[in-house]
Amino acid sequence: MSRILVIDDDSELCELLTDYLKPEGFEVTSVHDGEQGLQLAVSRAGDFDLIVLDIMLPGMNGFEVLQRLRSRFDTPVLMLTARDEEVDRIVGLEMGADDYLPKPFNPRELIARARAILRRTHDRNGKHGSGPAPETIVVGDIELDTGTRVVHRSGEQIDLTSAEFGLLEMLLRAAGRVVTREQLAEGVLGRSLTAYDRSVDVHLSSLRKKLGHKVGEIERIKTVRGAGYIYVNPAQPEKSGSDGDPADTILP
Amino acid sequence: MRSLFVKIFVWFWVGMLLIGVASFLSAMATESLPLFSMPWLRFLVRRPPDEGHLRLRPGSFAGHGIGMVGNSLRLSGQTGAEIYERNGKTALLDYVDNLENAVGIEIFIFNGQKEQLTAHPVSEEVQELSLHQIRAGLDYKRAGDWIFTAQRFTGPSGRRYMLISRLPARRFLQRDFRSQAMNLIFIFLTASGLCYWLARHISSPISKLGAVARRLADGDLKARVGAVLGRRNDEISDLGKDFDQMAERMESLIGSQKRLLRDISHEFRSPLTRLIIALEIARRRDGPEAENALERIELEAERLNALIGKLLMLARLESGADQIEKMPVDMAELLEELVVDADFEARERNCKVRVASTQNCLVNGNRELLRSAIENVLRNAVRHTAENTEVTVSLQLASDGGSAFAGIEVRDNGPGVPEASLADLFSPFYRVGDARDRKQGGTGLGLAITERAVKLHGGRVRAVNAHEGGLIVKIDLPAIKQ
Repeated sequence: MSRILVIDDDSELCELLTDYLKPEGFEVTSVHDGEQGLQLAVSRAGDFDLIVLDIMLPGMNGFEVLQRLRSRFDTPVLMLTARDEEVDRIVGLEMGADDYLPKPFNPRELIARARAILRRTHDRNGKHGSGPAPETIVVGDIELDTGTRVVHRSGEQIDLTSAEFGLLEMLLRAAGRVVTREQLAEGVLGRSLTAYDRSVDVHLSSLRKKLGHKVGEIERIKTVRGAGYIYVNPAQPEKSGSDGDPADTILP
Repeated sequence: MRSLFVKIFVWFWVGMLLIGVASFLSAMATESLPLFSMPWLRFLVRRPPDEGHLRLRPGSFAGHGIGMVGNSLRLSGQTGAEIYERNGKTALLDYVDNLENAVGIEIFIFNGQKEQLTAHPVSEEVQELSLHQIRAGLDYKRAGDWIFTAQRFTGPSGRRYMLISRLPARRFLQRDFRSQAMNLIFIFLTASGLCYWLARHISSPISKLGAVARRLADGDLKARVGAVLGRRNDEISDLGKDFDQMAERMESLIGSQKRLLRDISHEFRSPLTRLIIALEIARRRDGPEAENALERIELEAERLNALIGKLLMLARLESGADQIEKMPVDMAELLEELVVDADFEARERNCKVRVASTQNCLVNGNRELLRSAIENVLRNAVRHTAENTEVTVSLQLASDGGSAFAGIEVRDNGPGVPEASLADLFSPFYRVGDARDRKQGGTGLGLAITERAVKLHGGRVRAVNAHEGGLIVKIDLPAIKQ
């Protein structure tokens, strides 16, 4: 049984969700206030596997809750956003949410994404004990440590969300080669992309912002039209482009 | 002349210059206008008329040089007459020679019988003057570059003589000209300085005001005039204050409109969200008999959702509540992304979407709005194109005179649209064939959104039927010149 904390002011919605999610293996605790939600999340951090957080909360808004929560815990968070507000999605992801789902949503979609996040978290936690040995990947000015899950740029530590970290890891392992959006979605979000789904792009643009768009004169992460994305290998910047074959295996 | 600064400057500068020139000319033309005898104009030297008679009065404002010359000539003449009468012609000629060398003037001396005592060739002017009845004083005549003066005097014997001199006009005019030129330069400099200051004083705050207005129009709702105009207390600073009040009101109006739209969106979508979850619960609980009805409910819920989204988008575009942040958008990249997604959707009906031709161009605009605009056209095309056909997209950068345009064409292989309805396609909720369109999905709002969004970017959109069948939708957007 996975335990989910739902923070949403729509109490009827919470009832319905509880009803729906139970047979799917999720035990739902719901709270209808941002302040309360934060308190609960913090005081019983170990009790929840996933937090579903509505961005549009009265009083303390969703972003504040997210920010305060993230400063102390890294419990996975799935944001519920308004359909039209792109900026909410980007800001939320930058602040540390793992994925987003615009309202109204199909609860099956919610389950799919929740499961993907949980799987990823489990994998991540699992790696500490029994996965492949942690390694440090160095490309240009970036140093990525898969053990501590910390990234440095020219010695300076950069704070990345779990999804951003996963994205960067995939790109760095395939530095100089193209990685398709589908591969990124599978590897990072644990699910396939639906049509017109911008999740990967949003994570990527926030990653770009955090790392810096350019390294000297060259673009750090290039968008290859019709193919995907590529982390430019500073040793061979000319090689990056349409001539690269999409990398086949990315993660071990 | 576009610039206010230039207008004010030139107007006043030309005005002052004209005054200066007018005073210059009239100074030269008149001799004794009381105006010109004012002390502050004393440095204005008048040029004497080309010929005339000068009466030398003490304190008179005689033609400067000529008067002076006249005086000294008379004295020289009398001396000459003395020498002639006492010592004879040769002595006179010697004297005249020395005199000529000293002052650089040609001197003719005539006796009472109009016979030349000196030995110079006599020109017309000299001839004329010599015959002239000279009144007491000095007569003179200007001919081309020379001035001729004629003067009578009496020798010690009482006999009458005439002295005619020929001197270069330049000598007299030079001084006139030079001081007049100085005068003009002085006016020129003062005029320039004053005009510049005046023009700046008026045009500079106006262009500053314009800059703030432009910022407001471009979306910076916090743009205010405030202290930009500096400390002044005139109509222009009043204008600045009024502008700030207007901007304040605009900001609050737009703010409340945005909040309203956001609230509407929330209020509509909450029940929909609950509906969909309840639906899924029902689906799981009830048997296959209910499935048809449940599917229908799901479909209608999706339609409602799409409709709400589009309506709200349209409302935002219409009201201008959207603060559009504009930045350069890579159109080729955007099209590529959209085509990939549309192609994905098209596969359901065995159709394809592909880019037929593309070019590098940048449009200054809002990426999300542009995306919506083109996405709607694409999805429409995918919906209407016949099974097993393809939808092609092309992008071209064209220039029309001084400006560049990005031209996007989406062509499908569907039934096309009756000629009469082509213009109505972009009206909200317009549908061509009612029943069929509804079945294929679509809200009737997509193209209306496209039109509004494209217009907001200063572009235009239109639809034409292709010769071979199918519809071509063309979007033109102002592009950034490269």
